[in-house]
Amino acid sequence: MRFGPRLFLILSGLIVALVVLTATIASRILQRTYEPVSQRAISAASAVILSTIDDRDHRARLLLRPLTNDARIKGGLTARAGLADPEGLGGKTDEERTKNANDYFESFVDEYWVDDEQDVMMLVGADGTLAYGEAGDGARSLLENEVMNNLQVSTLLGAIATGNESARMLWSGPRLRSDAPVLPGLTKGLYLAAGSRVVFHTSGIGGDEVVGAALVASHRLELERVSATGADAVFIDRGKPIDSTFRSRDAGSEIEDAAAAWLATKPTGKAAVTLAGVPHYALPLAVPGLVEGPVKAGVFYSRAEEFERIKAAQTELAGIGLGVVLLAMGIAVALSRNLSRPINQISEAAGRVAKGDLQVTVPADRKDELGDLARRFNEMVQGLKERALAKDALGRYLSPEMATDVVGGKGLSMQGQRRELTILFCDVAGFTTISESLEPEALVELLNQYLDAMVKVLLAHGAYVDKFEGDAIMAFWNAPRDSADHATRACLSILEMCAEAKRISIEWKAAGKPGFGVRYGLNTGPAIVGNMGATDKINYTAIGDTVNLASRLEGANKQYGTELMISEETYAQAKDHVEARELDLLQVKGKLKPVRVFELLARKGQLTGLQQKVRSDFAAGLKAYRERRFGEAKAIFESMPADGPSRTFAARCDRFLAQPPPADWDGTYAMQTK
Amino acid sequence: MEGVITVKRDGQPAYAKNTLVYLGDTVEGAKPTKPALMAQQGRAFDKVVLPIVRRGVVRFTNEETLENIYHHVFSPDPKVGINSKKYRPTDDPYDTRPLDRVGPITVFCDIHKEMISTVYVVPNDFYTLLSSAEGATAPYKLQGIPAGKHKLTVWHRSAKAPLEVDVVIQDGKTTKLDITLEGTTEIEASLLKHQRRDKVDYRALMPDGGSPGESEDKWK
Repeated sequence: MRFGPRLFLILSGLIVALVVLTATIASRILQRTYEPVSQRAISAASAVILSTIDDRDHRARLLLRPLTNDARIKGGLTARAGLADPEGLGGKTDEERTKNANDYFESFVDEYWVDDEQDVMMLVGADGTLAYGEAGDGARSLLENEVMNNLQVSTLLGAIATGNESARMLWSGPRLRSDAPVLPGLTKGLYLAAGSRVVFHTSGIGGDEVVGAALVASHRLELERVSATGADAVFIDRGKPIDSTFRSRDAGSEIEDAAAAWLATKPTGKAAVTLAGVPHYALPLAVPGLVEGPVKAGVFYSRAEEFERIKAAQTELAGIGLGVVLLAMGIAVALSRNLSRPINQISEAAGRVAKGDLQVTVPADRKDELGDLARRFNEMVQGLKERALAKDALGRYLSPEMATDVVGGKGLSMQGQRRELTILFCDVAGFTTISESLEPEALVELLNQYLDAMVKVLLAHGAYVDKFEGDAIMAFWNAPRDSADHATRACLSILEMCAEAKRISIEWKAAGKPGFGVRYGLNTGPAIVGNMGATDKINYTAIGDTVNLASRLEGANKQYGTELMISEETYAQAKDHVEARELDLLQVKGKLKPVRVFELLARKGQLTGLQQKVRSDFAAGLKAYRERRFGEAKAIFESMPADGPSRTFAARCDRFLAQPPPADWDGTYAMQTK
Repeated sequence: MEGVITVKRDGQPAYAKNTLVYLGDTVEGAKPTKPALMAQQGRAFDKVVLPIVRRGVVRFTNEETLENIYHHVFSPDPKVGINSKKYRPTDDPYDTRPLDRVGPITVFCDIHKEMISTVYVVPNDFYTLLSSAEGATAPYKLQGIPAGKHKLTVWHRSAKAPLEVDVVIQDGKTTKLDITLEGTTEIEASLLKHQRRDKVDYRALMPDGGSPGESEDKWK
């Protein structure tokens, strides 16, 4: 993947993760904020219900105590049970006794104050049948049905019968047959039903006997106070909702049914439940001290507001997050472009450099690492360019192969060192004359043509072209690259150069341009070679007497009318490959020791017949000359008037004949000019 | 004879209604031939005071509209012997035996504590019950009393005992006498605190000492 998209993806991923993290944290904070609120509401609602139940319990006890201690009730229930007839009610059969007792209760029990709206009171015989019931007017038959058919009352009676003197339980009110009229003033809801046994005190052996029970369901539990806590309550009886605070709301019955279904699972503790799609906290209400019956109560707290707040916060965060992501996208794109563009530029430039284009530069105005990279790259290209230039320049003086090695620093040392070199100086004879006859442009053109040709030959023979001075060339062999046969190479090189120069000269003359001749001087010997010069301008060159002598030899050609003069040392090393003749024993200016000099004639074995004859005759002349037989020598030399050296020696013989050299003359000729 | 009866309670004028004025036993009345009727309806006696001439019988009827409402008339004084046992409207009414001793007989219901009445046995037909009196004073008139010395007796249930006043009646002449009867609230209120026939309370006391049904406020 490209750098830009990757950077963008990483940044986007980080931001999305950050947004998700923030949203999660915000949700948790809100949840923690709401949890105590819901806890308080649930606790408050539970407390309201429990305190109300406590109040109902108190009311029920107030009513139960006199009921169960009323002599008339005890007497009536006793008579009803057939134990005795303390009230004188009479009755021969159980049916009569029951009727009489029930009528008896009917006669007075209504003096017990019962709230027609709310309270339910029942007297139940030992057989579990209703003796008297009051719940508003004309409720008896309905209550009878209740007692006979209602599991709840049975449960309470059971609890009373099995040892508890009194017992209490939650009661959902009379459960009426569907076709029965509604009990006037008595609505379904949550009641506290309390019951106490009624005992007939006998003094006989049997002891006290339970003759019935009084039951009181006191005041329906109103839900308004529960609603005021912010929480909700639901009461169920055998899974069916009886009453709830949800009823007055939209979709309240659905929530109520869901809450009832949850309560029906007999949960034991606080839970988070979803009621008809609305999240709630839920707590089953446990009332201590009650007989377990089918009626359950639960307290609920809607988390809708909490979830709305969380959703709103999340939406807000998502919006902010989206904005941040978009912003980050922009930044990422800009940043990645900002980063990748220079990298791409450098990459592209590097590709061009690889293909040899060294004119490349990349913008390097940045202040950062990429700017550094670009600057370094430009420096590198500049370096490459300089090296290429150097290589190119070197190529003018060295063979391409050698130039490559030099530039590559391979096996070659440009450091200063002393080594044996063969050094060439060559110069166009009478160049001044030529230069005066030509326009400068034409002169430069001709000169360049000539120099090109010469350098080509030099490079072909492994020479290092040291420098040009106008028409003059200095070159040497065996440095910087090692060359064991440097003297031979040098000799063969100037032979070829000489031929090339003559060819050019002939061409020029044919073209109406001036012809020319060239003088060459070769010397072999030790020299100091290396990079020399100031820091800014360095030249790899050679210095020393050997160099000077080569230059002298080049100039000395003028004395002898020769073109190719080489030193004895050069000849000694190249003699197996070239033909030459000894010219003289020459003492150059500034040197005490004479140097034996030779004229290079041809490659080995390529002398013409004339050349061979001239060489042997000249040698004979030279021998005579050195033995001070100047007349004889003069005759030999003058026999070869076309030969430049012979002419020189003939003239010298004339001078010695006129004025003989000193007695210790050893044949050396001291050159007066450089 | 005639005059005005003023009834005071605790020294203050009180209502004079149901004050009984009669002539003492200086004159023997004839034995009544029919029972005097006392109806029980709406869990109350229909008369606060029922005068009856000596040797007469009182018939207590149960006239409740609901058939299953029992009543049980009794007198706390066992010597009087009024005790109806429990009976419903469908049962036969209860007739006392002939009442011989002159004076007030308080009657209660053994089931309904708030049912209170007085059967007053008078010696003769010279009596009048101020049953329609309003206020603390009420006029009375007894006609046809034979001339001679008599004891005029005035009774109200708030008085400790009947008040006897000596009067002389002359033929063809109307005797005028105004009488003031002193009574107390306590005596009247004590009637409300009676127990059942078998000397037990009608209702067990509430934990706070009250009786259920006496005050609704205690329940609210």
